[in-house]
Amino acid sequence: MTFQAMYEWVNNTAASRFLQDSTLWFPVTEVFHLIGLTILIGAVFVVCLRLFGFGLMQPASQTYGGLWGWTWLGLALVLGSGIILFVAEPTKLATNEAFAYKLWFLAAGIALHIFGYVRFLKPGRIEASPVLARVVATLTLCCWFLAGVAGRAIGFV
Amino acid sequence: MPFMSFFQWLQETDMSVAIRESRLMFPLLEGTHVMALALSVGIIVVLDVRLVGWGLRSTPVSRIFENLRPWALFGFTIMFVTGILLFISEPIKCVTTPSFLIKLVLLAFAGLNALFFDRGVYPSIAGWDTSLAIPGRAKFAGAASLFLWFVIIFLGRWTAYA
Repeated sequence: MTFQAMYEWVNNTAASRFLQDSTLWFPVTEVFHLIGLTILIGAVFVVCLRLFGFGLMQPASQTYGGLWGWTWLGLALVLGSGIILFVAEPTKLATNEAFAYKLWFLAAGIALHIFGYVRFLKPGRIEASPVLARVVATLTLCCWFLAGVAGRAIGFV
Repeated sequence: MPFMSFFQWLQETDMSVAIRESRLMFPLLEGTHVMALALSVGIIVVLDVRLVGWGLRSTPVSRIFENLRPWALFGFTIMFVTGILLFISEPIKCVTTPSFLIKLVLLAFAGLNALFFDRGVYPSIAGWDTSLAIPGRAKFAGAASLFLWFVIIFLGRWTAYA
């Protein structure tokens, strides 16, 4: 099955038809998408600030410990609503250049989050390699911001 | 709608026309507005979450507020300035769109809520800074802020769709 065939298959599902016919659910889902991004960026930004010497004057691992649930909630909201938004218009997104960029930032963001960010915020890890922790923090933050920018650009290109 | 002639005039100013007709300016402003929102409201959510007692419970409230407020204000300033410019680009559409007018009212409520917290609740912080027994008024301010900002995001998106 080629990608094109997959997009067309998604486009013909009952769920996609329902979303295409509704003028309400698409914008409502977009709102949840944006709220998810807001929660995710807020929680990640506050933790990353500390790694650069700003923010809450306590170990970054303690800050992450108090916010990890919100980080995952934000990510789950973004992904869940994002899948619904994709199902609503797969064939349009397939040829949208901004969407392609967004997917790369998203993939990089998730990989960094799971294999870098979460691991580095265990107590003691940052102190052991502070420079690498800053690199991971910068890249994670960049990925989420750029995913947001590319996502907003989908409607403009 | 009162002041309609003013909004008519505003819509015909060079600045309004320039933003509205530029293929680059409008998307740039709107994109910056949304990302500044993610930053400032994202930080506000962290503050509110602590007040309500849903996160960061091992961190004193004053530490969170004193350290994060400047960053929230920084994001808010960018959001505010880009918001004004977006309004200038299409004032007639904005003031005739119900979701925009409700959004303005809720923004005023969010401001009053922050003022109420700052003047009426925060001064007694020493008594409950590290306590998990947060006063009801502080919890209310946090919950109200969360609710207002999420509805404001909803109305902002609705205005763009109108």
